[in-house]
Amino acid sequence: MDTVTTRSPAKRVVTHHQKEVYESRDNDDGSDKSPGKLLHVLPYDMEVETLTRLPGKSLMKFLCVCKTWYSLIRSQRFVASYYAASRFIVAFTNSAGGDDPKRLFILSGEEASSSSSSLVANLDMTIPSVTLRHGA
Amino acid sequence: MSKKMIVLKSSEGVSFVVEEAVARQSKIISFLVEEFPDRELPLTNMTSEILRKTIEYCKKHVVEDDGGGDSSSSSSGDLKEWDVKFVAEIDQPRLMDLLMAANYLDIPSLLDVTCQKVADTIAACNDEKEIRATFNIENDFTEEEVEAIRMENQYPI
Repeated sequence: MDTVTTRSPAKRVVTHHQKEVYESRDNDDGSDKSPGKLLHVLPYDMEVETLTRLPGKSLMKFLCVCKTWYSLIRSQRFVASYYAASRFIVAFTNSAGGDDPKRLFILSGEEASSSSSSLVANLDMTIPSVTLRHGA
Repeated sequence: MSKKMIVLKSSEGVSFVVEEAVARQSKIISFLVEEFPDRELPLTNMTSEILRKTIEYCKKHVVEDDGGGDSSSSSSGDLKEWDVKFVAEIDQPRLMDLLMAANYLDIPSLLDVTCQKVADTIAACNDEKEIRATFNIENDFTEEEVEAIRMENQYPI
């Protein structure tokens, strides 16, 4: 009789996880305003899951929706999961020294063909970046 | 041989009787069924409405392995079409709830279609203002910050 209620494991985990996410978000933002409300009902990993499905062009366009999206789209972890979504993607910046990238170029193939996805499926890597020095 | 049935209980206490094969598309329910056979499974964070939707999806996607193929003989193309229609009929807040339910119950294919629908909605927005309005997101950037981001990230034509 008692076991189902006490064990129901996933619920506790999810709630706990969400709480953690919100706390860490507040810290990350360093702002006292509440973070974006949408995906707000979604835990962080679901936000990632959703935004990963957007083409690169949209992502660049929507960087300034709110701080959460900005830091999410720019984060290494997001870029990595973008990669894992088996899309062909190339990104590079035109920064000279690497400290202050002036532009980020992302080229992505919208169609994930099964043959190419198998190539990148289990690679744990971020987008390779190529830095070209001016005059090089 | 009669099919084994499972009882799922929503947050309002409404019981839903589902075939085991249908419910087992959720990895969490699969696990719970093995741990606690013959027991009602309380899904306290899911409303009846969302649970009903989830079950509707699972029923459509159940793979019949006992020869009763007439109800689920739809081809994968039909199924995809059905999925698109399924999420198209759901309004924004409920779509979020359904996405959460798919995540919570661990039903990868449902999570996939719901996430895709949200992504499509975002992609259909023309600018960040429209996204904020659609999803009720507060703009926590100052004008200057937005301008700086724009400068940094001009998308090459």
